[in-house]
Amino acid sequence: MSSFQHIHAAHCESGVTAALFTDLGHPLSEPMVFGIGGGVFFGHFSIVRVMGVPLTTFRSFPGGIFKNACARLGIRCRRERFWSPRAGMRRLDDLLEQGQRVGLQVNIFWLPYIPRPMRVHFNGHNLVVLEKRGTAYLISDPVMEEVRECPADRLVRARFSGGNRYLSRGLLYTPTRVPDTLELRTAIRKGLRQSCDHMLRIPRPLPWMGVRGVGHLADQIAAWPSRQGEETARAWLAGVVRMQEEIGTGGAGFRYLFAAFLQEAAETLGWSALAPLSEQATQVGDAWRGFALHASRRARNKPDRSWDQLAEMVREIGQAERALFEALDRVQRGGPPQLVAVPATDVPATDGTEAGDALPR
Amino acid sequence: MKREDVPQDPGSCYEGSLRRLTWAVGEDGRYIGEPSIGWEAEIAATRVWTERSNAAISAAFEDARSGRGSPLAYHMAVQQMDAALLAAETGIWRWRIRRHLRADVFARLGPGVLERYTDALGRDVSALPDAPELMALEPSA
Repeated sequence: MSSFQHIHAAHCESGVTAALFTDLGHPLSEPMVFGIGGGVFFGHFSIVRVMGVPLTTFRSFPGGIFKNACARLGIRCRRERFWSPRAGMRRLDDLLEQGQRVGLQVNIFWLPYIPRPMRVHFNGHNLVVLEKRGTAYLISDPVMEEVRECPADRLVRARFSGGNRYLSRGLLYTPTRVPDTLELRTAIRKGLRQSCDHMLRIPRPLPWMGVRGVGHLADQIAAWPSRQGEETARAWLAGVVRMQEEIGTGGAGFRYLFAAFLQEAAETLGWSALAPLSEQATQVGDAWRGFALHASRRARNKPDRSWDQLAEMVREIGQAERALFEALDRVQRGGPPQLVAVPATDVPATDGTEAGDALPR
Repeated sequence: MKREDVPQDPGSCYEGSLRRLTWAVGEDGRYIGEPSIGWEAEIAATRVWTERSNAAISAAFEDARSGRGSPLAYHMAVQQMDAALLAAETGIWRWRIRRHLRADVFARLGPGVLERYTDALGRDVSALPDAPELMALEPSA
């Protein structure tokens, strides 16, 4: 069996996809896979509650990055779901016996090597199974720094978890046929196109997604304290910060990952118009980080910004994201970039490092 | 964010078990993945969430011990499950699960239903430990 290169990544799905492609002789970076797969997104859904907290997401729907990246790069892939856990595990064992590395979509809650506060019932976590060792499986989870083992009984639970059961259902995936050369140019274009569509062109009646969703979140944050009471509002604000930073986003809710993709795309394709957009995306990311810092202090009840100020920060980030993706949209359609200035926030970008002593403990 | 600005704040829940890859701009202006042991903002946010979960676990534990609620509610709180999620896991209807949160109804449950709960929660639902199993606020490592 050839050696498998474990990739330590910011995000599970782009990490798994990059690792599987690399294993088949096409070393692509995590940001590249993330961008081609159209991973960047925003959504805030007040009515969808996860453990009582409104759902905020900074990424596209789980499973999309692998599927889209394969389709756009001309890689054939296999994606299988199962009604019965036994059939699902048997299929996994068969594929492993053939020497394949298998990607799985699982519920992160049941993975024993994940620290407990990070274990939430989320069915969209991804990992690669390398081989079976007795009653355990050797697992390359890109969130971890090295390969780990997971007992079979926990892996079954993780694969076949009832929460939003139609999402996972034991989903396993592998690339099956890979072309000799990858057509990066078209793939990158398609990824950019999807990102622009999803951020800018969500139909009017759905104000919760894309750049308008950021403005929606701002309105919600302003309304939370009076509507929900201070304590619930603080918990919900903490929820936003957790979705932005805690779940493995590479920082700033995938915005840095996206900026890294734009930079690499600019270099690989010699598409110089993308380079300044990468810097603009970095600034948007810095603004998100600044918001997260002040929001977390508010959540811990050591506020240094009012609720209205926090909402205003998010609103400005929404405008900055709109400017970024509109500029990107013009570029991906072949026009000049016509950069629009990012509204300045009152947060210096280095705030996060100086603030370490401010945390009470 | 610059690579040297990637925060390395101690006290995160994953400190000692993993480092989180953060993408940042290196000295040459190129993006690079830099492992981080934690950041103040996410540590604080996770702490808020952990304290809330622990409060729910403690409350459910006290209720179960004093007979105001069933042990099922406690085990659900420990495993971060609400009635909707447990209903999806077990196939038992949500309103039935809510009824089973009452101590008197729970006490009359047959072994079949208890076993389904035990399977779904991965723990013996009729037993109650001596003290509530809370999440550690500080990293264990």
